[in-house]
Amino acid sequence: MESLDRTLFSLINGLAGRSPWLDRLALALVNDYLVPALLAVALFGGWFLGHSRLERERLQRGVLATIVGVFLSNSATFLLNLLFPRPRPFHVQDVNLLFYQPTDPSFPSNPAVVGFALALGVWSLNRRLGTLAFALATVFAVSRVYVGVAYPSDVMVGAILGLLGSAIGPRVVRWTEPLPTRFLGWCRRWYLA
Amino acid sequence: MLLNFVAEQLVRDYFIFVYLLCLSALQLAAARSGLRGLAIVPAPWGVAAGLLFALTDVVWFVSSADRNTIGLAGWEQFLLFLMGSAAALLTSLAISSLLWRPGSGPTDPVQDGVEALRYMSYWEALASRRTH
Repeated sequence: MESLDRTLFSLINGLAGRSPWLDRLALALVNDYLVPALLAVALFGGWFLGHSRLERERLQRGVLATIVGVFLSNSATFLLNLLFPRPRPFHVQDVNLLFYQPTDPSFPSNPAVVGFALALGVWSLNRRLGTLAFALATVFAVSRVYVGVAYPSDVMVGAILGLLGSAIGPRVVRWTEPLPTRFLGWCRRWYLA
Repeated sequence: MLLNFVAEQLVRDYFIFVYLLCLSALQLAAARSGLRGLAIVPAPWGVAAGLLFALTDVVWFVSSADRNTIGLAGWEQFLLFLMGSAAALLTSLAISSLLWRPGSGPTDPVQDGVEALRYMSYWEALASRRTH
């Protein structure tokens, strides 16, 4: 398993430095800010979408559930980072490093966790936008391998963790009733929901 | 330390980036949902203006500096995102209220929640809340 992971890593990371435009694209997408912000903004806009009160409330509950899901999957990532402090690829083998050297453990990949948790949230609001969100999250995750800071298994487990967190989010929102309903009621009183 | 905001320029740039992106998203959402009380740009151009504004913002953020450096921690990004989105919402509601022309659309004062922004400006909605 470990050797398959390293072989896959070498295949993807081996492409780095060969094509300037592919490197530029990866470097534009791999940073810690762009893709997570785009996905989060899609959720923010989703809060105000909908043509009826009922539809809007469904979307707003979806946004709340996604926030809970991201928090859950991030907490799980933090724990796994502590339990399995896997070194980054550049610490153990020769890599084409195009990115700065992150100091936190490699497993699971936090950007993949956040990207996929947010993408599932966007998908629950709007299928078409969600498909685009999944494409962005996938490119974001793969680019971490391309630039040499994560193994494929890190991003795969990260993606699963993000999806799980976002899938559990709606249940947690239901369990915590009447808090979400009260929060939405408060927002409605101020014409914000 | 989770909240140290070491990279001052990045903090400023990220805030501006999120603020403008949220402002664009609000224009798109307002145009799609008919929430005139949230729109700065009139409905027919809301979607195009929102997309163009968002694209310009992304190009500026990516090309204006090297973003692939150690900078903001997750919690710092989360806090800045909250502040940027709140600021964008306030800006959108305030400018829309200033630009609002009474009687320029359908009226339905019984609506509550964000639905009210289909028929009145945010300022009018707040004022009607005080009188009812």
